[in-house]
Amino acid sequence: MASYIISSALLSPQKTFEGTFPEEPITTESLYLLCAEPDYKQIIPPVRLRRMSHILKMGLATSYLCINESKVKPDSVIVGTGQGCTGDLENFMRACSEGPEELLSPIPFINSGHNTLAGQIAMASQIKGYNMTYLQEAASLESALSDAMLLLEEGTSECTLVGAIDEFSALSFKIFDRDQYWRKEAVNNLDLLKAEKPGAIMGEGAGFFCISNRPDRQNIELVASESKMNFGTEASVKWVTDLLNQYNLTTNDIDMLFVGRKGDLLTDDTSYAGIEQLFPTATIAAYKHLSGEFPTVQSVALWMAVKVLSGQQLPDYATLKAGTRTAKTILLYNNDLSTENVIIVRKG
Amino acid sequence: MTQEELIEQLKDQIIKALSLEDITPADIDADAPLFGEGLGLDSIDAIELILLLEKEYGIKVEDPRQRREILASVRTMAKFIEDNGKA
Amino acid sequence: MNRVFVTGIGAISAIGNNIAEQLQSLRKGTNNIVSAKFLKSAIKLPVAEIPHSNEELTSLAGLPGGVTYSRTFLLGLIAAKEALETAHLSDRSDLQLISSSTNAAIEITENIYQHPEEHQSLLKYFHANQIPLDIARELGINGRQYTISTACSSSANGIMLATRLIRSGKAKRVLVGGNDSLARFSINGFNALEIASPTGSRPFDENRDGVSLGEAGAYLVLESEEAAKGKPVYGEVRGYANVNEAYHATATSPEGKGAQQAISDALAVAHLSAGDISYINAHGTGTKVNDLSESNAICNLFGDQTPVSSTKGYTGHTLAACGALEAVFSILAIREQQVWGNCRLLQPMSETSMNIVKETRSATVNHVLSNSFGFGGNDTSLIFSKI
Repeated sequence: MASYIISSALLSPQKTFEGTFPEEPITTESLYLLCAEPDYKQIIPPVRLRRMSHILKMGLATSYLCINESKVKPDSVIVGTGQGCTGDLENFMRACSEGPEELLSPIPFINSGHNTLAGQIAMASQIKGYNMTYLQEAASLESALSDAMLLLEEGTSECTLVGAIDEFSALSFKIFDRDQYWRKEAVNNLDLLKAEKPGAIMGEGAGFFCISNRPDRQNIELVASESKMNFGTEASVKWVTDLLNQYNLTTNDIDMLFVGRKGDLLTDDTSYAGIEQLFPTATIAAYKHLSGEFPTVQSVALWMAVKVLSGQQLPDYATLKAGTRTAKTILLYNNDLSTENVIIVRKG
Repeated sequence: MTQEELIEQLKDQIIKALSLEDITPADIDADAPLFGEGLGLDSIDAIELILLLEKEYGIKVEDPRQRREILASVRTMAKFIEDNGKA
Repeated sequence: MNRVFVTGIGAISAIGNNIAEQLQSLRKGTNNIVSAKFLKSAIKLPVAEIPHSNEELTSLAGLPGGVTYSRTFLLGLIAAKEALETAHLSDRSDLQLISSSTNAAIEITENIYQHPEEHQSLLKYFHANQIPLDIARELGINGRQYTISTACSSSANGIMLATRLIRSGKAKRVLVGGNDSLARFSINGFNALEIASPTGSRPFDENRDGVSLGEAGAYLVLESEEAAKGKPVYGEVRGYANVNEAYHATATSPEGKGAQQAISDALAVAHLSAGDISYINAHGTGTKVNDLSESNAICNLFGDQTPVSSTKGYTGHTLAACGALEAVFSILAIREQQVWGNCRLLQPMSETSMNIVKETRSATVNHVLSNSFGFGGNDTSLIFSKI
């Protein structure tokens, strides 16, 4: 049984909340990109909003948008979050250290539970079925999507809301600064992919998708969502080739490839050049100069792929190499050094 | 401080502690129930209000059964502070 | 549809370093909810702490000394190793891994976040998925990996996922479980929510006054019937369900609607009726609210005959690990044909007519229901059956 993406919504550092590719990207000289946030008061009822942390606001607002766009109301919720509710996790850690421990507000503790968002979505939209949260860094979205596909296949669900979310965290920014993970100097995000220096720029985002066992008019099929622990034991190219075989596809079937190039002089080519060569005639698209790097960032590429399959033109600012074919089958590949991920979508 | 002044001060502190951003002190009736229909507060808010009494007024509510009475309205909170605290 | 067999179990908790020791404790009843020796917090509440230092756990895990490891990781590795050994799994090429902990290695990160530069070798623990990756690396697991985080139902949800993957043919064998160690963060959280017990947790007791936290690692090996051919089998995973109550961020509804739905759905998946269940291993945390709502759900579906107990009086509430730990206890109930006593119970709660097992005793155990409920309205029920 096939799975179809029947609605999508993306909150990102670009103006994607409107639902179409922005004509011009937002550019800034920075070490990180933050979401172009809507006025949450217009979207989330005040009684829910008052205790919400940043990530909960991002996620709940985007979930509302995605559910509103969907012809079918989801009966299940699956959220993938790479690092989870880091903001209030930090706040409660800090409160515990600073004390007095006897006088702590429980709210940041409640909000630090990584499944709080999935629970809040269930409460806000009264979705009482299956409710799951994957906390798995770069594989979180892919685990969530494959769980959704399995739910639909089992007939447990007719429509599942899948979300991918990570928030900017000053602590993560500081901690993961080892091993030249982040840029040391601010860079214009549109120049990022020249990859002149080591490191990426950090980002954040929330992407939501309603996945149904019945197609809508757009007929966009979610074919595969796979991830693999990357201990350097198996070559990426072989893994991707084997996956294509498994799904009865050949390299020629892939019209467009989204790569997770993040502007890192040290790893971009080793992570992506081999995969790009596997699809010599495909259009190659990139997105981390628009969103920054975060664990569930492949949701940005998935949203873009859905827009392309819905008939929108891939903007030049996201095109690394233009192919000649109309995109019918799109492969997304991301490699964050500990995990490799592939998502495949196609026009049915 | 008179009870009325204490009530006004409490209203400000409650709005801040519970992040009631869209509510002004004038919106809060000192005699209306805080929980249920009134402001629509819940059990987590009750914990925050007990913390407020302890942090701002140095009063510890030892007996959990007293809570319902103390937190009935802003006025009952003010009375409790007058009876037990340094205000 | 493939049947799913339990072929390996492993666990470490306050009541024992391995399955054999825990079985002994379940039989004789013990008091392990006491003052903490290793946990450092101003909140002095009784807990079910594993009576070993990190150095001792490192050696139990078979790792070289002189390196600081996350306690959560060590508990997971110890349990995972035992599960793989009991399953006689040497070929791990097609083994998948599903793991969970509440807040990754919070017991490390909460102590170093202020001065991370002084703890270079521990910084990796800020990665939310570091522990599962380290367990996979240590055990040579190469298959697909999933990490679930749904608070206290996490590893029960892991078992549900593993079962669904095997039933659908997407996995042959899965190592699945959870690990959590005591941390200042969690004891403060439960204390701030006013659901931590000042006197030590007494699930389903009239005078229960909250949760006592515990720590544990617990893993199971699940295999398809075909993959398990010729092996000793502990039991079968027959039923599972997860629903969301959509009621409150941390509390359950008084009538236990979510719990009732999860149990009914799990029975439906297992093609069993309430009368088929021989023993219920309840979530039973010891809070006023959970125990009342869970017992209402149980009484509504099962009446007052089916034996019920919470094993959290032995182990404390081990958060993300409790689903897997109690799955292990459910499997042991089937293997040993015993039902476990509701440790620390003095006076059964008056609001319920539930048949609480006061002391461990022999019984015919064919099907066991195990409940795990988490914050965020997350309700999971699993059903394990005798082969």
